[in-house]
Amino acid sequence: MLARNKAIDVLNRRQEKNLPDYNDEYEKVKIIPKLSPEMQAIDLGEVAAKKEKIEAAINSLTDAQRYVLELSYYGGMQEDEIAAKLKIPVVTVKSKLQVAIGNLMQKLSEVK
Amino acid sequence: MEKKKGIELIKLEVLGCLNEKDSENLRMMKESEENFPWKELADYQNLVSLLPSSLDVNYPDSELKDKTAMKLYNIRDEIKAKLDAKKPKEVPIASVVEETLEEKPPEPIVEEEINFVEEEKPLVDKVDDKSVKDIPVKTESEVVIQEPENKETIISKPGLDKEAVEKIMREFIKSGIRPELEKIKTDVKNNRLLSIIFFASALILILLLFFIK
Repeated sequence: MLARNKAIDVLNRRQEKNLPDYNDEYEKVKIIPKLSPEMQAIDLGEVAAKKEKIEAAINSLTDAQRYVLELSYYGGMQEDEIAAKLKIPVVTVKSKLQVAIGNLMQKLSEVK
Repeated sequence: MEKKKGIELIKLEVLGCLNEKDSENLRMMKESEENFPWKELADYQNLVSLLPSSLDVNYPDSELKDKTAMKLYNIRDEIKAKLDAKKPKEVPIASVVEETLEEKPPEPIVEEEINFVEEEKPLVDKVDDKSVKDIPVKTESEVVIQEPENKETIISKPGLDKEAVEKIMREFIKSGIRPELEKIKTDVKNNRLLSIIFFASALILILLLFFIK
């Protein structure tokens, strides 16, 4: 999550988006993820073992859900940006993202 | 109800897609609610962190590797240069101490004395037995008395060199530079006179031309 946040920030700055100066405070708020105290570390072996399951879970999403998820997670776009890009209401973007991530979670837990 | 709302916000937060208002709401919920769904937050965070594992890894070109390596080397060199730049400020103290220690002179002279004595020995060995008998034998004290003469010459050498150089420089300044300076001064005076004369004659000519017209 840290790597993702950092990568998105670098890309946004390259695209000269109007971002605040990069300083300690900004890094603390925007880059460093606030992990749940109950989170347990996953080792690489576990990740490798789950790779196919994750792929299957992602493939099970509808195209719209997958697209919105990709724009959000890999594109680093905010909900209003996605809404403007897809010309749909912000509420719809929110619900699509929530459903997509909910479905992923459900699929992965089913596979277990 | 609050828990459900919390989970909805968590889903958006883990994707990094939460606006300022919702983000603030979620923060308040985390701080205030005892029953905040931390377990769900952890699950969704784990899920999201697994998402990139579905991507195919594209390894960068070797050129990019080289560029990255060069950048790292440059950064290392810059840091080294900065450290080196800081060092000289600290060095003078040590060098001053070294210089003061070096100013204690007598040890090298003792070495030279020893050499002097050692160098003379073989000369004595080469002389025939007969001639040795003829030569008046010198006691140790007499030999030691002769040493200070050598000492003086050895000690005074560096001092003489400095003085000699200074003398040469003074003489050179007296003989070479001063006359040249005086020459330049006289030349300047002459040039001044000439320029005044030329200026006056030019003025007269201009006035003459004016009156003729």
